[in-house]
Amino acid sequence: MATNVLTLNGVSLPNGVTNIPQTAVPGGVTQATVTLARNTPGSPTIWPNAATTIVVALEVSYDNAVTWLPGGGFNSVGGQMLDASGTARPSTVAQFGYDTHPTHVRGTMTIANGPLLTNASVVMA
Amino acid sequence: MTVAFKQKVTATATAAISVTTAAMASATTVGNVCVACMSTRDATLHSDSMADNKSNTWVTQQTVVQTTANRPRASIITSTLTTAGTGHTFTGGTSGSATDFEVSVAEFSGVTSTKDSSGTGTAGNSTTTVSATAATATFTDNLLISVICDDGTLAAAGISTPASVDGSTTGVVSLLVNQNSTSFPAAEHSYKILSGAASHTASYTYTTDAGGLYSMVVAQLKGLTPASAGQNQFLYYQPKQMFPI
Repeated sequence: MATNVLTLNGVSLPNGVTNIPQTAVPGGVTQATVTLARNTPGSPTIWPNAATTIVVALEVSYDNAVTWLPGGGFNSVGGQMLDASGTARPSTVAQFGYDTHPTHVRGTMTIANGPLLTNASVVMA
Repeated sequence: MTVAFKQKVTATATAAISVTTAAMASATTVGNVCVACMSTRDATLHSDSMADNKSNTWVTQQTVVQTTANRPRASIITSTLTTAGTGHTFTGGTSGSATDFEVSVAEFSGVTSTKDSSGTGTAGNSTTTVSATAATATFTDNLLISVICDDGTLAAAGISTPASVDGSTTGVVSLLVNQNSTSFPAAEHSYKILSGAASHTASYTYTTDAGGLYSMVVAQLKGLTPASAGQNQFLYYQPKQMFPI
């Protein structure tokens, strides 16, 4: 069963660190999915500046939030990202697989040259 | 010492500069080999790289790059761990800024980071079956790795799971599979532990993706080298002893 750790619509993420809250996840979770809306012709106010960067870093716990290990992460920049056909990519999506089932997740989103306007979600499933 | 799988992590990201896996669930071990499979694509030609948070050295064993369309790339990159332990993570990077990444990293024991043979699939428009044949291995114990990356997203049937090696799926293990995703390139990373010096062909079957391109690579890594006769003599040498008659 999927657990929504974070759902932000039309949020303006300020420069610096925004926390992804510590969340208990159900047993059997094997994957985290992080989604950020990107700039497209249809959404010109979303993350338009190529100088605006984000670093997402998750941590997971396998022992009920006693100890934590890196749970996956990525970095990306704003502006339109086009595929070979010239279509702007609508989102940055990242997925992280876990061989062992985490009990908890938390994380950070670090913004530079922002703010960063986007729709963001973190889902464990 | 036979080749053995220990553990793995996977990570994917679209429209990103780099992606870092979660930490391996258990501590990694010095002397073991980590095999990183990367399938990537973007609209501009870039080169891919692998690094880890314990500063081990990574060697690209085999890579193939398409230079048109969404430029799918497939790479096999390995490291013999000189530094290991808990919290071990792995980062796939690119020289570009808008890359789609699929990364799997698997830890093996009983294998070296030395390529015994390798091959690439025929680059071109996708067909229903694609294969890559590795040259004849010289070592009897081998680890065969294969990676395929399509530049598009594929329809319902997707890529066969797992790959077949020499016409059989027996013993072939998928490390990462992405099918039917609207976000990620269709891709699969697989391995098979082999014995016997021979050439091997890895094949993937998938639904036609009209006009699409793919990249596919296969590499065989040597198992740990058996001690030579001279080494054996040294290892088992014992001083002559004098016994009373």
